[in-house]
Amino acid sequence: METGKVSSVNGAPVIGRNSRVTQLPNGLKVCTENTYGDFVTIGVAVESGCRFENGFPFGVSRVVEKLAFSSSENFMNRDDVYAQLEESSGIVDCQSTRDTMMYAASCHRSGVDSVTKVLSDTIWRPVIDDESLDQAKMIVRYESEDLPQRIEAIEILLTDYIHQAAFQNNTIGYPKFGLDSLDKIRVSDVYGFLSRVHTPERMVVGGVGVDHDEFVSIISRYFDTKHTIWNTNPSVLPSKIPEIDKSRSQYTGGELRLKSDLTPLTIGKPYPLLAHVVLGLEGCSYKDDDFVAFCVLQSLLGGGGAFSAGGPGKGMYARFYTELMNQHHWIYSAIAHNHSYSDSGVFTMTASTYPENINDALICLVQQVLQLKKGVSSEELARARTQLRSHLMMNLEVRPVLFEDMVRQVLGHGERKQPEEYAAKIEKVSNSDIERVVDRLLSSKPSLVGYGEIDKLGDLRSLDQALAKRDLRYLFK
Amino acid sequence: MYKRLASGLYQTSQRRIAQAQRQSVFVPETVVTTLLSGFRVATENTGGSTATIGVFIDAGSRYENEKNNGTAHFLEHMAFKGTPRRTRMGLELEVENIGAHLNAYTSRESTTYYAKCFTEKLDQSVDILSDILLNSNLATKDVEAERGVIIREMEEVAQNFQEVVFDILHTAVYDGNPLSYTILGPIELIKTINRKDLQAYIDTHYRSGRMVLAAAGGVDHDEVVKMAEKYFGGLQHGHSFNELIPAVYKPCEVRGEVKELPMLYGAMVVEGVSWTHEDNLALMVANTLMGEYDRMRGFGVSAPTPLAMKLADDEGIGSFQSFNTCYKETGLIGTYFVTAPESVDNLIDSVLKQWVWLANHIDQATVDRAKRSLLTNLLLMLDGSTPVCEDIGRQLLCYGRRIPTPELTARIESITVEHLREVCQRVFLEGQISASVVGPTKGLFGRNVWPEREEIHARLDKLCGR
Repeated sequence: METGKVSSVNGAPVIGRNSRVTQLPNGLKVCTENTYGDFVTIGVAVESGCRFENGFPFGVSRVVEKLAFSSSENFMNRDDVYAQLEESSGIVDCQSTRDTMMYAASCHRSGVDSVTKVLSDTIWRPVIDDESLDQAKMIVRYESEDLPQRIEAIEILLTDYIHQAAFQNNTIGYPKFGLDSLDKIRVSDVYGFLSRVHTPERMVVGGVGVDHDEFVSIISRYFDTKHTIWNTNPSVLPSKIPEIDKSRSQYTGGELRLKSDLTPLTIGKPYPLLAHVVLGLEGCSYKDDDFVAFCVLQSLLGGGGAFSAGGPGKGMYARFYTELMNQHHWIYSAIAHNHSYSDSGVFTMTASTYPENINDALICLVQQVLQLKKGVSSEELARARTQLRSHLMMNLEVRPVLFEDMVRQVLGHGERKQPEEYAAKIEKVSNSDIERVVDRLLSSKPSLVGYGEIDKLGDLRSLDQALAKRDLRYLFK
Repeated sequence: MYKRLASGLYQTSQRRIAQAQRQSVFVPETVVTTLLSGFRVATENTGGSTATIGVFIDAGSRYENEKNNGTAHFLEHMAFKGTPRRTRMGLELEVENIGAHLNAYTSRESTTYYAKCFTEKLDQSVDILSDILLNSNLATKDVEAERGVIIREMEEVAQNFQEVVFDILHTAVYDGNPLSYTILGPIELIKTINRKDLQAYIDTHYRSGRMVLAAAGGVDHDEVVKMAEKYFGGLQHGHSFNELIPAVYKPCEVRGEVKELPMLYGAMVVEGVSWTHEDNLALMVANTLMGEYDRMRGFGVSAPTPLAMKLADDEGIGSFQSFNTCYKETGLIGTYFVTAPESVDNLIDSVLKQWVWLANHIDQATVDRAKRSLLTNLLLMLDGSTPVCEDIGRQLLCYGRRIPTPELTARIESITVEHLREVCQRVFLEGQISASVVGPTKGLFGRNVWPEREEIHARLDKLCGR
């Protein structure tokens, strides 16, 4: 193992990200960055996921996720993949979100070639049969049935529900954890989906800690469009493959009420029976000029819950702590999130409380939005900016996170935007920017999700009026 | 299988050499400075605009006595309550406003306080750390208020059966030694520990020779040394060796009857080795070969071990996890499990068989794979400034130095099949088995669901043909 400093100023290593992007003739983008140490993270981000399932049976992208790293043309089964990974000191992972499928591997520098072989094989040359499909479906079904039984997973479910309510029956509003069409998925549907969606121009290959030129040559070797399984063996494809749904997402607003008995969640736990409410308002795309301001607003509201530990530095002075949880003992958790996609977004505020207080919790959330119209103090805004910046930079210390940030940037923007660029933008967010995004939120139709015992929760019409007329009384019963 | 793997390994090392000639890799090194007082400073400059800096103290519940057990942990709770220079709220706002994070934890052998921050806030962060560590107000009203919080924490721990299993295991096998104490302490002491006890603990144990200031991320070693001198210069001198009472492992079994539980939670162990024992790495390889399994999560990222494959077939086994816990002069190695009472015999026999397999039958290819997998897991964990900083601090306290990666690699690679078998023979097959189980431990007619030690040893003898 050869080690040596690249260059050094005052004893500090100058690693420098040295980001480079190369587009291969088939449209595939390859991007790399430097890092220290003997281990690297490489992988592939694909513009895929449940938002692109329209026309295909819903659930197909999660099936694809579960099929990752099993049988493929050059690896007989999962054991075969493990054996290769062990040789390369590597680990792999595949995760799908609404709009991205992420295949990633961390391995020793010396294993980049062989791990790329594993990645390319599982992405473009998977060997899927009825048995492996059934196994993948079983895991998907198990996961969907298990989620509602775990209190830690509530947030994942609520996020799925608020997207369904905010983008009714379109694009990012398609359910991620639904099981309705799972049985309909056939092997040919999976290949059809892959052949349409997992194409080179919709993919970015990334490497953190690799040499750019060498990586590009490895990638060109393994990611040759001629050698996808659907090109070498077109018989795997169905006779008709739907076109990709390229429609823009449409924020509709709306309501989703899921009345459900959540008492089983409290057994053996030091928590009471809770009901959950999510208020959603139209947010923005990550390409929008206001994107960073929306993120600062999220940091300002912040929040957390009884299920997450909080000490100094974890946002104890964000508004959802100081004005909701610290003031109202009956609010168990309250948290704001900003979800941004390529063409739109939704800003959400979630609260969990006793069923009898569920409408009060909604009133509190609306009041928090209305109160933002009064402006924020400069100290509060400065804190929100610093915390967002520190959150961003600290997360990026971790190589797989840096990898994900890099490939998402290149996939979403076509280029690598440096974290420092965002850090500088964050520092420029002013009170008038916050006012502007709050106005944007208030001009949107609301989305509402209720989950649990929610008889007392107000309806969408009253919520709409309360927001439109800036008057909480519409929500009083 | 053996041939294929062996050839793969050979190719890999060749490629590595070929690549090293083309590409220079920056691997930061750990720099250590010992101040005249004995206070140590250790940093690793991995670059970047953020860093983690922490104080690692060679003090924990094992340095307590029967009158003050729980004090180290109590102190951790008092750390964020204010100092003469900082009110509680002032401290919180200061940390929040600079975008830093503070954290603290206490274990049997060590106490850790660390801050994550932007590099330009390192000095301020060390100031905060030293202030809360050395000058905490320990105001009587805060001490009183915190008792309730700790008692609630204790009630939560009592619901966590894994913690309960390890607590009663320590209480039993290290009976009579402070290593047997729980970290939180008994409720009677939580109710009576006072300001004087807390201050006495700081005065006795927060000594220069027992503390390490470790940092990783964008850090400059010389600057950190200056911060150490500035903020930890006035410490009283002292080391821990006068305070350490060596623990002796006493084999035994403990059963905690909770008949309402459907599953039995427990740990089956033998005595392991200390941090610095020459067999420690071999036992870490053995531990990797024992593996883990969880019915809810499946096999995990690594390839399943034979034990995991076997126990996955038994629907009565909820999960198992092998562990290798080290202390300064002793250790515990074994298996934690969650099982239905009906599957106890299968569990015991499967674990014993795996021990016999490790000591008598394990082959080169399997050992090579385990060594690689262990090294991969150890090195992949060191990602981000916080895990690196924690590793530096822990190693300085446990080994007195940071083991460089090439040395660790070489030492793991040098473990032979014969050595591993010999160590496993000594530790597992000739060791004295202990167990702690919690749950429905009484079966029909009052029969013990978990067998006596003698019976387990008899089964092991039979498997070994003794």
